[in-house]
Amino acid sequence: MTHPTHPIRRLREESELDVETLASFAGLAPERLQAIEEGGHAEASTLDSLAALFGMELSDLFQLHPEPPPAALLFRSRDELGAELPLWAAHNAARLGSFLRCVRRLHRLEETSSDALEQLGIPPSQAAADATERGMALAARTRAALGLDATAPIPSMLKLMERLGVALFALNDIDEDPLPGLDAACTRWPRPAILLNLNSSMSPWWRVRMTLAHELAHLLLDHQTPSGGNLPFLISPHGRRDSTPLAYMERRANAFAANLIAPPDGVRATLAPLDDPTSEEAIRRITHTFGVGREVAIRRIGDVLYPGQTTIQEIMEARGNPLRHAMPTWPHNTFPPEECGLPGGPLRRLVLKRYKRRRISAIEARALLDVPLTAWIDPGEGLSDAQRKPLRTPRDEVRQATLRILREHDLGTAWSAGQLEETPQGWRVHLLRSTYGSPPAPQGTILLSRTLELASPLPVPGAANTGR
Amino acid sequence: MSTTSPDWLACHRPQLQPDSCVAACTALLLRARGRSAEEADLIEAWGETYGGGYSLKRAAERLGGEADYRPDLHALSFIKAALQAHQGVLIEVCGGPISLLARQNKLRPALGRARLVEGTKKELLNTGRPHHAVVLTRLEPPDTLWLLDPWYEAQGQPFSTTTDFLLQHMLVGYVRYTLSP
Repeated sequence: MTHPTHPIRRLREESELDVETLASFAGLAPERLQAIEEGGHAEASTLDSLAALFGMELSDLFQLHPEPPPAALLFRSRDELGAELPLWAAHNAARLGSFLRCVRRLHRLEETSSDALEQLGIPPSQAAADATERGMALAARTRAALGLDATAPIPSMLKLMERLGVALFALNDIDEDPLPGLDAACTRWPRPAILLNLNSSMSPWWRVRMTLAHELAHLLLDHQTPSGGNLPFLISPHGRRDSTPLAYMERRANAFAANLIAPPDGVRATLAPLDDPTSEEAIRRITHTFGVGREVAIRRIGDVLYPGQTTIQEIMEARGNPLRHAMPTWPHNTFPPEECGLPGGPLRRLVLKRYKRRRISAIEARALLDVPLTAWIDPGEGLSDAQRKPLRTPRDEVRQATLRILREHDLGTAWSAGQLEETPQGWRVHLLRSTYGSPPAPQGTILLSRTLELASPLPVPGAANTGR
Repeated sequence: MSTTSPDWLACHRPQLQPDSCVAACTALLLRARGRSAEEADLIEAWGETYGGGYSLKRAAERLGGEADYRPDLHALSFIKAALQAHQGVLIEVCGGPISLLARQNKLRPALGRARLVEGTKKELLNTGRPHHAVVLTRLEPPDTLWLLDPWYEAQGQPFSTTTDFLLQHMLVGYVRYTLSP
């Protein structure tokens, strides 16, 4: 099967990435990537990782007329959105690619597809008026479209996302920030989905609520590039404050999020009974009523009651360091830790359900969840041990490694691995030669290391131990 | 890469020698590409190997590609993608399970031979030796695979299996087409 251009090169060029940049995303030396693009040997796993960077499957590389890769537009939009984009992408490309791949898998597996976001009737919106005012107006419009009272809190953002058909994925690595520099990412294509960074030090529940509302803004408003092209994929960097279009989108999404979760009329109604709306009690009431953090509560009071004036933060700082109240627990907002990871969340749930009911095969389930044939599928959805257990044993792997070695030495189909003995250094494998009509004949032994490399000469005169 | 499927069955010929399955399958695939190819010519060109049978390496060199002896989920991706592009895929399989499929499909061994491996269903499922080569010709989504086996006469072929059976019981290697420019 030949292509006029190697598919990896095509993907790279469509994404307007140079060899060095893509190589750095993939953790490969530029020379190695160049060699692959020129048709050199590449392990299937390497090609799979490269495809994943673009949100593609390995099998997509064979398509005669492939769709543009989902990540390409993000990469390509860097000039329009802000020059720092490649920096974030470099740190996160593999995980963002996996996220997009999971969304595509989920979409393929789902039997129904309806875009509840479309039904809200909020049109995509380009940078125009003041970002904060625009975000505020669109939040009010969205609340109305959702049928929410102008003063009512939103009890659960997770449930709201479910209602809107937004698939939620999350990463929660304990030892390192799973998405350095990013709060979240989202895509509208091929179905709405959000990837949350639930790094424990940065993601208390109130921040997750705001992040979800912020990403909802992107999903509703920002699925086009500033020049009007489709942008199905966006990232939300931490605290970006500059004048690029991406910064405008971020400011507008922040305003949208604050006004969606703590609407102005709701903030006013909550503070109305208080003598001092800048008091600690006022802040406590806002945090407890609307499920926002202290910082957002202070900002909301300032924005709603003192627009354009000295911020409430400064007023409070002038009083000295106020006693900080404890944040309440908030029901229905904990993202289950077992749902975190990629592939995880809604994809994992759906795959396991289908697999349990035998609607998809064991191999398909493993392929969708990236579980190797030699590994157990993690428990969930009532799968039996028989459904979860590995399809290949360590001994199968030893036999397979032996075959690989034999065939590389040009020993044909007659040759195979017989009895295996585990040794302190690895494995002793008894070789067999089987010909039609005769019982298998012993052909000596070879030693394999723990890493399944050949650790002794082949006892085969004809092979002469000269394999590749 | 073709947009239409070849007439696979017309390309099938019984293998000439008991251990020349790789050559027979290579010739079959070359015929499917519209080339005039005979198993005997390949055997002559390749010569004898020590102990019998050929490695997929030989076939890969002739077909353009590389032999891959990692029968994992990536292998399945490659195989499915190639079949979707109407490319046949030469695979090396365990003799027992492929014999079980042949028996279930009532295939008749060609040239007066016996079955490749005999035994009960359980024995066949667990018998690797001797290894054998066959050609996957078609993927019927989501997971049915059609194949041709040169050990048997054409009648009753192609016959089918599933991706689960292929990966769990049969597959040991395949010829992967390169994505070269």
